[in-house]
Amino acid sequence: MTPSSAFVRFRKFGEAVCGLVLIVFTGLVLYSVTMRYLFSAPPRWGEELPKLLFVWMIFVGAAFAHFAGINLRMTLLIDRVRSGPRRVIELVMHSLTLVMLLLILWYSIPIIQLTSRSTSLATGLNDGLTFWALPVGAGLLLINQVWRIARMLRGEVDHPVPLGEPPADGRTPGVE
Amino acid sequence: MLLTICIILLFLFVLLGMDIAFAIGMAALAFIAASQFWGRPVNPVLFTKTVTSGVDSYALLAIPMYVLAGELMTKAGVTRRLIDFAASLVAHRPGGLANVGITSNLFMAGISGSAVADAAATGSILIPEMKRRGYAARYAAGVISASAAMAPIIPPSILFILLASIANLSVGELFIAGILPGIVMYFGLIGVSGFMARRYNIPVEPKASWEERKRKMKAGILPLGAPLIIIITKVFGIATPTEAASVVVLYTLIIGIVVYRDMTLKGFFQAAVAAAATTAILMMTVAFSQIFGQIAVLAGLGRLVQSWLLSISDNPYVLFLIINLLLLVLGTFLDALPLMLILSPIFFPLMTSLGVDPIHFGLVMVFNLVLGMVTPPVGLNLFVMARISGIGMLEVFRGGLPFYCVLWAALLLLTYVPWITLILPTLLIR
Repeated sequence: MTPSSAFVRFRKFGEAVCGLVLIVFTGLVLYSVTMRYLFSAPPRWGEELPKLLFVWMIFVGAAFAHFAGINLRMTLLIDRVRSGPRRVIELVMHSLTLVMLLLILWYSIPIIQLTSRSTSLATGLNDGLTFWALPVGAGLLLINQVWRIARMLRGEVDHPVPLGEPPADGRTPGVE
Repeated sequence: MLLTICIILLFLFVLLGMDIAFAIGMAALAFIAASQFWGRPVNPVLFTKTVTSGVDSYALLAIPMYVLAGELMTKAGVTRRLIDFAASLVAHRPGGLANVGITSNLFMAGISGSAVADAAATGSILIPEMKRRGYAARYAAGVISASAAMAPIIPPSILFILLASIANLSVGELFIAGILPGIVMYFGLIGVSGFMARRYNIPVEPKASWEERKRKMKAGILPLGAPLIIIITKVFGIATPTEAASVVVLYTLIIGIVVYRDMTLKGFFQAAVAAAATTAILMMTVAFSQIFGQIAVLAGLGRLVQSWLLSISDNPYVLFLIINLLLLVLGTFLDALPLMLILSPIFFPLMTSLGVDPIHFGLVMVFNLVLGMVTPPVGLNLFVMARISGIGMLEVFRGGLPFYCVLWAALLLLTYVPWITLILPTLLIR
């Protein structure tokens, strides 16, 4: 197995886990409303547990979505720039994002340390668990940034193609 | 001054193609970094704390569930059935397939809550069909892009859920408040479609027989139960909008598996994976917008904008007009989500202090931002339609202009006649 194909498997596994998390917390909310409305016995964790899973789905899910080339950005202007200057602009943008992610990792430490001292009454879980989601997602996004920067240094522009997979038409994306 | 630089940076990053969530985060970080040297220093830990806390909300949980319900409906072949149902009702009237586009988008609006998703779902089926029947591509794409604007107004609406969470409003009230404005939009669009059809001799389709109508209705009526679940559970106090969303997911699953028999376990799982990815990207933008919104408040942007607006006039009707224009202009350059998150804490206190009902203002704000989706250069709906129809964004805009005009007129009507927005919440909930 090549590193690329191993990564594609990892990406698909991560996407599947995020989908499963969504199914689980939807089920938990449904269970809560059923227990409350039909049996007048809502579970204590009825709000807290689905919320915790939701936060993890967002930050980890966003990283896997970026791995798959899904993003929310405006390319109207950048698509009109020639590939040389475009690569320089995209390199700067991705490097800035990289710095931001590193700062997120660094400044997550104090908040995790602070919140880890308490436990949620509803779930019995450590409160710090909620605040771990952002640095874990940021760590995964770092891989995305480094991979895409490496692509650009090899002469490509940043087309939103999934990491580890060749573009659909077999050409090197963005190279004129 | 610092904030002005950060806002310029934000627009620059967005224009240069940085992911919108990261662009907002970078601009906020730039402010925090600069504040260490000039002005009152902001603790950088605020950044990580606010980004996480901003999405740690039970109310926001409804968003992925409505996205999942929309994905499940698509997998179950609901879009095709709704279009057929709409065609049996309105295709024979002046306007032909344009009427079908508008009516099927009205139906879809009651299921998905996302304008872009509805535009893509109905557009990918109807635009090729309209082109085959001789409609100009720009007209076909224009009418679909305009009709998809009903999605965030008719319940369920992702933008309403977010707005309720930021401005501390009732999601249920916002949902119910959107029903009549949605109907106003629908009849406005159908009116323009009829007018255009008469003017340009657009052909109509043969009238469906009652038997055919009954058959199409039987196939297409069940998905329309989704918005009813949301309204009934709210009006009778059975469930919160988040809980109602989980019931809607179960309902769509039952339709897909038991009634249509088009839903497989694999399809269900694929829908969940797609919904998780879509929501994660969307909510990342929400998370990063929260910190920017907080920084805007810390830097006193709210006070500044409020005193500027009040120096022009303290008449709510005049301020409504100025804010509408501001939102329309900003909405053409930035996505509705971050704009709403950044601007709500500034505009809401001002307008409510002048006696404007927050539900009314919220609806006008969302309506306005939705119109930004069909206005160049950034309009997301225009972009999706351009991709599906194979023409340029400006062409789509030109084709849809008569329909956008009626939407702008509807915005003015809803702004200055609050009764349309407030009558249903007053009668049913308050």
